[in-house]
Amino acid sequence: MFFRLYLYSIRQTTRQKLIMFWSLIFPIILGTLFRAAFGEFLNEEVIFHQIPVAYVAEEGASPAFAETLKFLEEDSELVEVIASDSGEAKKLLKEEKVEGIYYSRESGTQESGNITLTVTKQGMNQSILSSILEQYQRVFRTMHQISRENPAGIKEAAQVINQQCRYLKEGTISDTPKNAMTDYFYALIAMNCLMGVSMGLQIAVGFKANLSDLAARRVVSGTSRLEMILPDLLAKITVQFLCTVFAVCYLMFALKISLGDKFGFVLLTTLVGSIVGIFMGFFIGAVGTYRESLKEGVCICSMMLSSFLAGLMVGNMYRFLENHAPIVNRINPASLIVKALYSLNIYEGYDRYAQCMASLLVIAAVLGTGAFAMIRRERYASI
Amino acid sequence: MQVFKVFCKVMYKHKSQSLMYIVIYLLIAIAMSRSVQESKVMEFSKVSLKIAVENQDQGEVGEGLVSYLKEHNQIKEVPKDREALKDAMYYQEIDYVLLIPKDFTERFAAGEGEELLEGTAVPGSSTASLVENEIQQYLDTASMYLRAGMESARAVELSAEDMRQEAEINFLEKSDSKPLPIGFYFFQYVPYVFLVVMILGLGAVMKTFRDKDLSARNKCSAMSFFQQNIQIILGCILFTLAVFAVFMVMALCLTGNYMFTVRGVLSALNALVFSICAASIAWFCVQFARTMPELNIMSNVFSLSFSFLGGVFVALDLMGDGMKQAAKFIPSYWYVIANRDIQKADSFAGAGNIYQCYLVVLLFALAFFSVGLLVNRMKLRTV
Repeated sequence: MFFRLYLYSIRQTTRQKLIMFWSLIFPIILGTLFRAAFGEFLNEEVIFHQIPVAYVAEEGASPAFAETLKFLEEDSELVEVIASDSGEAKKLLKEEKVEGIYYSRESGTQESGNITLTVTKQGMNQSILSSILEQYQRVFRTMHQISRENPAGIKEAAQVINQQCRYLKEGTISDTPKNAMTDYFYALIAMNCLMGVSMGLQIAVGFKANLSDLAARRVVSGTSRLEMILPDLLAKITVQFLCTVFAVCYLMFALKISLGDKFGFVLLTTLVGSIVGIFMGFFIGAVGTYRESLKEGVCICSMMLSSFLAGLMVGNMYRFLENHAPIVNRINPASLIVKALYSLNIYEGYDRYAQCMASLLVIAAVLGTGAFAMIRRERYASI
Repeated sequence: MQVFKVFCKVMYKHKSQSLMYIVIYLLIAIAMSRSVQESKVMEFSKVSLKIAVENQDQGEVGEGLVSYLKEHNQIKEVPKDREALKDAMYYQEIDYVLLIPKDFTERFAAGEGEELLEGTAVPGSSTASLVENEIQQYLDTASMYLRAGMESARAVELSAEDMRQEAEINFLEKSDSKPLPIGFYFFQYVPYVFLVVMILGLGAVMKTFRDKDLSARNKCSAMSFFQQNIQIILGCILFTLAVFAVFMVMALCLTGNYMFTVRGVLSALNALVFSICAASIAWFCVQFARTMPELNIMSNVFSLSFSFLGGVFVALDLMGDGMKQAAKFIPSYWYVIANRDIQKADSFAGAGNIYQCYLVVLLFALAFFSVGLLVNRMKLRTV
């Protein structure tokens, strides 16, 4: 009896095109969109473009900075220098053909020359341009100090600039290299697990006599509701889990996103996540006698809200919530799934991972018990 | 105005669903704009990080390095055991851990440099590279002084002085230097919200009129087809304006005086133009969706894909060149461009390129509307 109901439920679920779309196709579309939107940042080597910058030298300006820029253009290929006059440079900057303007003016007092940077916005390229100037001025200042206090050592000091020594050894807290963009994909997996809400809702609809004929028939039958619900629940969890596994495989093998080497644990996380997703939908469906369309809206909204809070749309959400409302990160299912995947790949031990999984299981248990408590022994005066 | 009245009645019937979406997405938009604004502020001012330092060195260089880092960052104790350290990093109480070994000053003065220090960053954190850069530059400077034959105490003193040298950065126009107002962030996420609300809200009402039996009944009525359509269009305009008005009231409450400036008015116009486009996308979707759940799918696919590819969620700067070219075929791209340029506009006359963006969005609206109309006509013929 149990096994037969289980099989029928699986067949029934896989034949519902809409549900299969949400659980199977939608995450794949979204994953592909992510990959398309920040594909460059996921590659190991970020393709670096030379930053175009205008250089305006007034009469009597120190030639040293121009030489440094020339070196940076030809040898390091860091910048692309366009020498021009002030008016032309401003025009280029306004048209966004250059990222900034270096003005080099004559200066009687400063040895390094009076150099300023003019920009229109504050971004990554502007930061690089400003740090080039800053570093140049610091080195110049240092050399100037040395030439004043100990001129004999200037040659040795100059060698340091060419040596480029790396003082820092990277400490080990994890072996897996992690890209900040990976968080988006963790959030995507979390959302995929929570897509189970639509399937969970279907279970509840199948037991709400005012919402479906099947439920009306079931409600009058003598069989225990738990006996009827269990195979249904298990079947939906199986289908949802398989859909999520498919999406994870698509991310890992087709889009080549690195999700760490603990594949088994990733699958375990998605299994628990799918259970939470199904139970969430089951719970929402079990509440009250509202219309199915309204419940569906609540399901989709809560799933999206949960994923949003886990960083699906804005990457630094977790940190923002950790500072302002840490409780959300402890009870939001999607955040817990993201954190479980994160700790799995970053930390050696399994303590934090186990913590997240335990929280998820508690949430699933609360939702499941609550939903069943509402469905069991429910009677209707009229439908 | 019979049809118009019915339209309003159906709209009223769906009010709870539409309102739910509006409220939830408003919350999301507000949270998004707050969280992004916060992180941007962090990015541009000198970032202060929480650095845990374990200084075992007895000499001056180690101490000098710590006091230099103290100028901009918070220095913390390194937790006793490794697990406590991991916990602190996990909950982001510490951003970076620096270990200075026992004989650091001697080895550094002797010319050793490679990997003398050990630095551990929170995995995936992008801010860690800033600290690493600071340490690297400070030690480079100190190394130059030491090589030049100076005493380590003097070298440390001079290095700290040199590091205080900052590049002079000017902005081409005064307005460039100001951080973006909250109005910018509020309007940034409008395309996502509008698309979802329009497709679901407007779509649901329009779909009612497309019911096979109902439309057959309407066709044989005394009222001309043209009349009926005009009234339906009037209903759509009413819904669009209502949604737009709700958002403008929210904008007024959230951004205060911003809405009374030239930029505020341009932003409002931008949102209005996009709401027209979203309404015509809703019309387009209705042609293909047979049921409400299908409409739900379309709303998510359209809103998320337009938002990710059009630069609403992921900044356009982060996208590859190819992707940026492709994004030009998406209306939200032009909305985002206009929203960015509005922050530079000072008068209505000087906002030429912004009007161009409006025009492109309107053309997209026309395109979606025409294709929808074409599909509609073709379907009518096949019935």
